[in-house]
Amino acid sequence: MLRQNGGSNKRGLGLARLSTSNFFTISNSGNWGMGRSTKSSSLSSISSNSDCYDNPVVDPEYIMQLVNDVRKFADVLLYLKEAILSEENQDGLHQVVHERLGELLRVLKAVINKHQALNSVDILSAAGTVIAKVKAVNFKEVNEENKRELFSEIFSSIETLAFTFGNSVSDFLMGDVDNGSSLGLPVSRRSRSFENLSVESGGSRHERDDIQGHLRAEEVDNMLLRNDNGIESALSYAKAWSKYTKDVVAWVEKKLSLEVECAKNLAKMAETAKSVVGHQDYMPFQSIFINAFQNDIENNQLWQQTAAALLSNKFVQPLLGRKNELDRQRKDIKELWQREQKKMQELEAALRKAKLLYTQRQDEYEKAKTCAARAEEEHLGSSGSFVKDFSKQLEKKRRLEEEALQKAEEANEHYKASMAEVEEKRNYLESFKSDVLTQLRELIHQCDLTLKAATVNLFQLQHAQVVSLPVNCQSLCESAKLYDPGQQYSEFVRSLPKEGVTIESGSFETQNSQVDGVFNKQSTDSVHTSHGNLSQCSGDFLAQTLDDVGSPIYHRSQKIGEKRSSSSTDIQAMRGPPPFRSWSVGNQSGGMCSDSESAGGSSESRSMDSPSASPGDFKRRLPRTPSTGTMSSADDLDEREPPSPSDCGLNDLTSETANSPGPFRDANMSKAAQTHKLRKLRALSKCRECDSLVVFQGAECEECSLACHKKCLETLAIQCGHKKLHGRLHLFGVEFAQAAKNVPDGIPFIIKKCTSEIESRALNVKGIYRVNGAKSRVEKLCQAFENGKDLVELSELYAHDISNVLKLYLRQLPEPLILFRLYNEFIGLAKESQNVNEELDAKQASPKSKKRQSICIELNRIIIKIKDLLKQLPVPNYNTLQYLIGHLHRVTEQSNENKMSASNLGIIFGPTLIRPRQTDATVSLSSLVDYPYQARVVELLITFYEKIFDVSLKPLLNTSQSEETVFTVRVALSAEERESQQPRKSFAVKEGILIAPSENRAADGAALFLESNNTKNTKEQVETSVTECVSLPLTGTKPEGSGKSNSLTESSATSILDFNTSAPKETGDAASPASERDNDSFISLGEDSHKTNFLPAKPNRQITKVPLRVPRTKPATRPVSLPVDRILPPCVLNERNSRNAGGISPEKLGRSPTIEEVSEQGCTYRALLFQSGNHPRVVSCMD
Amino acid sequence: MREYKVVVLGSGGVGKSALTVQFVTGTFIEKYDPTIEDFYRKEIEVDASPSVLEILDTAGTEQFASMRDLYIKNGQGFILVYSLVNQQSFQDIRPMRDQIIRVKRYEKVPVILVGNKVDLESEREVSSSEGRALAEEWGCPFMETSAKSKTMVDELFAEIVRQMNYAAQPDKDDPCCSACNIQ
Repeated sequence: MLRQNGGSNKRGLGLARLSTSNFFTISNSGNWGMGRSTKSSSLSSISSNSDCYDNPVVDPEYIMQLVNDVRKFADVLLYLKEAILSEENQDGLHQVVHERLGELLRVLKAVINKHQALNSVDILSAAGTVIAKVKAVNFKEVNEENKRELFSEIFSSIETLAFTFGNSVSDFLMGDVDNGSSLGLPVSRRSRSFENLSVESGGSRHERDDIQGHLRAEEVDNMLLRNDNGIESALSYAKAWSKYTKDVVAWVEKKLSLEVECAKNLAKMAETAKSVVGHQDYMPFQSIFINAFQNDIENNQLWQQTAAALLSNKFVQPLLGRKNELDRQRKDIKELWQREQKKMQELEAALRKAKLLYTQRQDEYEKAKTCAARAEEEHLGSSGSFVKDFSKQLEKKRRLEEEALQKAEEANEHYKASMAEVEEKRNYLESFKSDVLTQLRELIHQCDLTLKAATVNLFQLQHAQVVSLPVNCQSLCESAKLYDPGQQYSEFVRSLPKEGVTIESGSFETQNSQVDGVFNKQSTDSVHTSHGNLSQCSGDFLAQTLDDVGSPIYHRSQKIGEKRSSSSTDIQAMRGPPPFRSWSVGNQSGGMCSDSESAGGSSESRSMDSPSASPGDFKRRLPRTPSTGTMSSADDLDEREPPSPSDCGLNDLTSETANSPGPFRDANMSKAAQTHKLRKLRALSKCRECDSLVVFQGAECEECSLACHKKCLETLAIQCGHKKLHGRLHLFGVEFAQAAKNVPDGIPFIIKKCTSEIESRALNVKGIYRVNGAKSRVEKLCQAFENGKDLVELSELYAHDISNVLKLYLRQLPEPLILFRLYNEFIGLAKESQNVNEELDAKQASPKSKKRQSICIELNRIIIKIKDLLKQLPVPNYNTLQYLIGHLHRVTEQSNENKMSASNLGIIFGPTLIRPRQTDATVSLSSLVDYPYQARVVELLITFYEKIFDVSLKPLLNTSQSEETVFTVRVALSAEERESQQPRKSFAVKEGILIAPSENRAADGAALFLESNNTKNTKEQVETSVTECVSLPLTGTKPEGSGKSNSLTESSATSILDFNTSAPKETGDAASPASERDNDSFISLGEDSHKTNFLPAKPNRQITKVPLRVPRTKPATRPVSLPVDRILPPCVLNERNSRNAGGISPEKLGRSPTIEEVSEQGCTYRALLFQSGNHPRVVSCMD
Repeated sequence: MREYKVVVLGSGGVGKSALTVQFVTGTFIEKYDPTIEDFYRKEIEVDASPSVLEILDTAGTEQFASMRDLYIKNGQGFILVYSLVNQQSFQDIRPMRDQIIRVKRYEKVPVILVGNKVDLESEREVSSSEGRALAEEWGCPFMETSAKSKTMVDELFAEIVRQMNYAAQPDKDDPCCSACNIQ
């Protein structure tokens, strides 16, 4: 290490030599300063933390040492940072930085050697990142603009190292050394991985070579310089390099694509196999194979990631970039060189020409000279007569000769000049050549650097992607070796439902769990000390098997019948955690796994003994009392854990086989949590589950970067979306339009998600939508929806929680789905429909008549009106409403199971879907008055879903059907709703007391004068049929009661009743002709009377109605829930009227002393409502 | 004859209506309809004095929770019902009692804690001791009833009358007055 350290110093020097001066203008920005302070505080918090955790396993002295070491490490980290930040000492910056880095590594190595528990992949990889980052800084390129960016990377890597280190230390001190991340690998591997680091940091040696290379580089240049084709060969080398790189990259690309494809296929295969195999219980090695599949999937993911990294910034891209750069430069240089070369050639050609010219001129001069000489000779030899001519000739020749001489000299001059030019050019060319060569050399050097980095990356990544394979395989192999053939079969047999035997094994289990605890303790201890190849999980595994072996079968049979505990809890305990969990390797539920039945006991013992067990893990699995009785209330589903033992088994299996990788293998995770690829959290962030800050024990998904506490993994509801998780969105209490615009059809995802989940499994849950969810869980789920959007996993949640969230969402919309502006019209229609309903009920007993048809027409009209009104809604609202109502309609189809009829759902969704604009505090008062109508609106929507939304669920029921059909449909679908109204009517009759609705005043006069008759009537009735008033309603519930009351028929009473009933009619439906009214009311009265033998008069026709009413089981209990003003039976109205008149005392009614009317002052509860609401209310007096 | 205004509170589906109707009419309703609000009157004799009970059966469904303040304002005695086969309904009780105290502004409001559906012993999720512990904490009576089998129903209403009588007695230190003085 020291040597390498020195090496890096040298390297630093080398780099410093190369670096340009603009690098040294670094200023210490505020940002960095802050970063430093936070880091140092985090480090100090680590050390202080470590002080306060007293772990019985580690002795204090050791901790002190550790703390010191940690401090030292923190210090060197700080030094490193300071070195980078320091403004002065700029010249030696590289040297200092690398020195500090070396120091850091030395300290880290020392610490890790000393404290093996800290020897984790995380720390090593973090340290590796720091080294790589520091090395990656090209000091040459550092300048004012990019230095921040360049150094911030270093800083973040340092932060990461500090954080990881702190995490490991805290984990270690908390006694929760992670099996996944601490190297449960052979020592050799560990040291090798450290070697890797060393090599990394000691890339220095290569650098040194590079430095020598630089020295030799001149020689290289010289050699090339001497060579005529030096540049050409250099260029051709560069070309060859480029081609070579291209070939290599092509190979890598092809290989990667093949790998990715292969990885994808393998992952898919593993996924399929996992899902198939996962459902087959009690198969040997199931968990091992599931683990193997999971490993496969993870591995393949890793491969894909590696491939992506290699394709992008690790290998292919930089290399290609470098190659292109090289090609470009190479071409430039070549061109330049060629141009120079050409120029040179041109010059040389010119020189040659000049030379030629010179020689030619010389020749000419020679010729002229000889010619002149000959002429002279001739002139001398010739006679005098020719002398004159001759001398002339001679003269001429001489002149020529001179001329030639001149020319030759000129040529000579030119030639010399050209010579000089060429010489100059040659010299220039020589230096140019050397320049080009240097350039080329540097270029190639750079290319080599890149190639080297890329190659290192390539093989490093390839190493990383296969490194986990042998370990995983080995642990699986070890696990597999430990299997006792036939064990699963026996588990399976034991899990079969049986009576006597189960109890016996239940008693066995208690004994077994103790043994188990002991073994577990041993196993964990041994693992802690030995640091063997096997992870701790496999150690547990061993213990489990030992446990199984150690408690032989005869033991079991001995115990049979001993502590025969017949309590159902015991049975449940034994049934609860299914046996196959014993093979789930790689999670910490060792206690649970030890034996199929030892649920609670063993895990407890384990959690006490083993420091690696976190105590919170078991609460989910505590055995619960099974439901043996019939499901008489839906509420109990709410809290009960998995609904059936087998389900429970499956659920547990999925969470047990906790396939998610890495450090959280041993965490107890929810189904959604398992979809994440978790690693240790590297930076401070907020937990997406509980919304608080995560400091220690944090998990983070590699794919979607969701951060979460380790604890919160148990309940995490957000699945992995395999892409970066979007930020928190506001969902609840946000305008509907806003939520709707994100989706094409305008139906917010939360509605779809909740309804589909409920439809998939909760349609037959009793009281679905009625029963409240658990507040805390509902809030959590809301939060999850806001955090995780549609990635929320609902399959593990309680139906009531989901339904509650849906209701909550709708209720918290600032404006309900049915907009405020349509409120009044809808309520008006609800009132009309109430009226029609009343008539319809009345008509049911009557023979087929025109009137009935008219009612159907009336109802149709209302439905069409509703339809028109809904058309006024914005498209998203309409779509959503249709979707929701369709869902509720399907809920009502199961109403015999879930008890949620349309009217029931109407009551619940009424104020949720339609409510008036709320202005002030009188809200509840005014809306209370309208509640029944709101409910009625929703009820109508649900009941006539097909018609209103033009959906033909049943092809028979389309809008074009005859009124007759409509009527039957109505009867069929709304049987329940009528049921709910009928009792109210009859009840009101019984009570005989009503607070008058103000609209009904018109009827008062008419009713008044009948009042005395009525009183008489009641009196008679009381005398004849009622002795004990309290029991009256009871008889009212039975259909026979009506028969009895029929006998009381009195012509006078009938006529009175006829008249009476007309009163509500008048107020309610003025449209109906008076002649019909009598008839209607008569019948409606009859209906009422069949239930309440208060009524003296019973027309014989009434009897035909009785069978229809028989199924109604709640006759006397619903006095007020629905508006009664229009349903009020006559005699009630009558009595009320009489009281309003004030003249007749209620005592005239002749009730038994226990019958008590509500006096005006007795209406205290209602007083407020009546005052503000001006709305009819029944105040019933039960006797 | 004194009138007692009793409000029955509890979360959805715990059997408030069933209890009330069982008391008032002596019948068990099988119907599973959510209540919006029902009102009953019944005269009974408690400790040899005739009393009129005005019982307000309220909506358990949370949609109507906004009306609860109103009920509480008007009520004198409160029957807090949970279903002992539903742990959640038991959890829901505490905030309701808090609300009563908040609205009434004094601690000693006549309250009875009732675990209903005791006939479903096999499905029990809330043990008697849990209920009793809560009642002790609040200093109120505790009962386990069954509207279906009419277990302890009449006793329940007699007890609430007694509680209201007791609360109405001018105590040595009337909690109401002292509380009123404070605020």
